[in-house]
Amino acid sequence: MSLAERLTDSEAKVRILALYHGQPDAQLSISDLRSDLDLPQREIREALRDFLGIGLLRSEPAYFLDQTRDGELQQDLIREMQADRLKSQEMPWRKSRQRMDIPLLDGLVPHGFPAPASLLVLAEPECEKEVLCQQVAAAVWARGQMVIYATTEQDPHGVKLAISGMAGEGEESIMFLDMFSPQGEIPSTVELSEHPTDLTDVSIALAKLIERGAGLLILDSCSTLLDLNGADSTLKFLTSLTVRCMKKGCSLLLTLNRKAYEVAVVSRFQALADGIIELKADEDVFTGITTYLRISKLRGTGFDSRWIEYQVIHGMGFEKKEV
Amino acid sequence: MSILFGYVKSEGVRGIDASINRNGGQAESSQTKGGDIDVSPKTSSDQVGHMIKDAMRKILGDAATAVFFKILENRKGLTPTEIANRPEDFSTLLRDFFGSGADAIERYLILTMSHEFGSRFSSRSFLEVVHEIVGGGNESG
Repeated sequence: MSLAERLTDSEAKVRILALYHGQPDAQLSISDLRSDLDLPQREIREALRDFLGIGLLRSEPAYFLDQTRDGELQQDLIREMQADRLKSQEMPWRKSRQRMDIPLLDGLVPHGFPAPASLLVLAEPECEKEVLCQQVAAAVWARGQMVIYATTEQDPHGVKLAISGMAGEGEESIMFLDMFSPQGEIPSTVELSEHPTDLTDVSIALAKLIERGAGLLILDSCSTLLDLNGADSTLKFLTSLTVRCMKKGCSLLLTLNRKAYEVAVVSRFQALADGIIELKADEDVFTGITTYLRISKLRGTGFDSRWIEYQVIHGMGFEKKEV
Repeated sequence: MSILFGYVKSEGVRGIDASINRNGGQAESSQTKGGDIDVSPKTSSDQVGHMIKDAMRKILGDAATAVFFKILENRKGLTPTEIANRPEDFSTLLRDFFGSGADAIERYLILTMSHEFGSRFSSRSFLEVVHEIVGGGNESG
């Protein structure tokens, strides 16, 4: 639900907003509000609870408007409206928009993600980007689409188990390209495996899988390809892969360690992608690690670019953390 | 030129008196003997537009309202004074931004207009109310 909708989704909320914006210094008891608004008590209480939850109102000694928070929420609302304006700049070649079926992401892109599209996840190591990849794979699979999962940092068996845990049975619809096991010279547990330095073979293997009509290709992680092949070869490979995917209507989800490379290299990856999802972690002596997600680029539709705090729920994936 | 709306004079809506900006409203309309309202077409269009903008300002605050109306103008070519003539475009943008919240906002706008025009529109939709105010004016003109 957007902020605009959250602020106005009941008559009580709209009337309370109007009441306090008309008298910003008012301090009103619940009985004052009941008397003034002449609306069902339950509706008023629900509205107050929600406004207290987002910090718009405070309740001691009576209900009053937190004018600083009100200003912040207005700025958030403005950003939301301005992001929404971008939807009119939709690119004509886009076939459709799709929800991710991941509330954290869908909440930031109210009109859906353009599809097909190439998305780059720029993540710090503590952010558990692989869980986001697995969650997206599970969501796409749940819509009945085939998913290609190319993994360089994890054993496909573990990835399979994680996706099964999120999506239930049926992970057969997910086709793996194992680029992890060959690095350790150990036998792969899946049918297809290639060493990540053999980009031509990797390209051929992926092309065959894409031809089978996949809706999404996940490559986790481009960092391995970059480390082993250098920026030029990796970007050439990814450009070719992106074009192939878009032609076949297959979306692409790439990941990259956002801290491990020069800004100039990361920028080249950013330029290649239609959309960028950034993950960062802040560390604090008292509160430990706090993780945040934001969308910093998304061609062809409006989006909310604010950092959102998230948590990883095992077996479910990324969820917005209610502060 | 006068319009007889024939609506029952509202007793006012509790809780809305304090939040309604009456600027430009009362001077433009007057109540006739039977409780009917005398509103000229030009006045009612302007009045409705300003009333809607004031009500939106109450709901969203000044800054967000300014952006909303800028987008309304850019995307729909609609200034506040033209809303009364094309309320559908205003309503569409409300729905684009506020989703289900648009219904509650429209109900508040109806309350505001009821209060301002001294009439009861509570059982009507926002579009019906605006069309009635402006359309009634055109008929008598």
